[in-house]
Amino acid sequence: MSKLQAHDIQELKDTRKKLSRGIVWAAKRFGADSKEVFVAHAALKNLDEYIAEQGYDTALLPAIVPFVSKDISKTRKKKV
Amino acid sequence: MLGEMVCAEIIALIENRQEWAQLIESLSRSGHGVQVFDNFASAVSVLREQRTVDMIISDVHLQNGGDVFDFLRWVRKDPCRAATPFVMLSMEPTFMAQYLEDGIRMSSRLLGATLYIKQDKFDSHALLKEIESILPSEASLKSGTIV
Repeated sequence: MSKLQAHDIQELKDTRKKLSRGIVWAAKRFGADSKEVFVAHAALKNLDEYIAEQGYDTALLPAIVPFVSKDISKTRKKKV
Repeated sequence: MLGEMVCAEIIALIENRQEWAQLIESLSRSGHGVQVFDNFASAVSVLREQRTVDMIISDVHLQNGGDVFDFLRWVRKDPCRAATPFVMLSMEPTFMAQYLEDGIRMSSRLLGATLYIKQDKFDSHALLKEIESILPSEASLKSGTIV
């Protein structure tokens, strides 16, 4: 049984989405190895761990956008 | 007038930067004891041994031996530190840090940070004022109820 209320879950989902989009944008633009992206990724990972600790089924959470490496983003730019 | 001040034991996790020296000096001048670390492992080992810590301050973008969110959750899981004020600082953030800030700030709050301070330009006076506004009262420090 989850200890989280519906509004908590919504807020956590919104924050995850915000972080996830921010990470992808920042990694594509500036590279995935920057400290800002590292910190945002750490926030995302810890949010998910926190949600799981509260007894919420993390499988119900929307999938986050995967981490984009610097090399992949460069390759994609070349193809375009 | 040192006797009337709230003198707290503070742990600060910050990178070695010139500007931080001002903050440390200001806190020390105000009668606070400040221990400065530039990595999470050292701070964790001190927190394990030292009972009295009234506040923890950490640079959001420090990444020596871990990250601030792992550290924050470790602190909050410790029953002795669950109520210790935890301040996160974002000093002179880059363009990218500003873009990501919303999510970072919200995550900080959700994971238990007491205060998130962003300063576009370092202002040690304003910072000191904000930090002191959330320090535990002198009475609780003396009685040892806040550890």
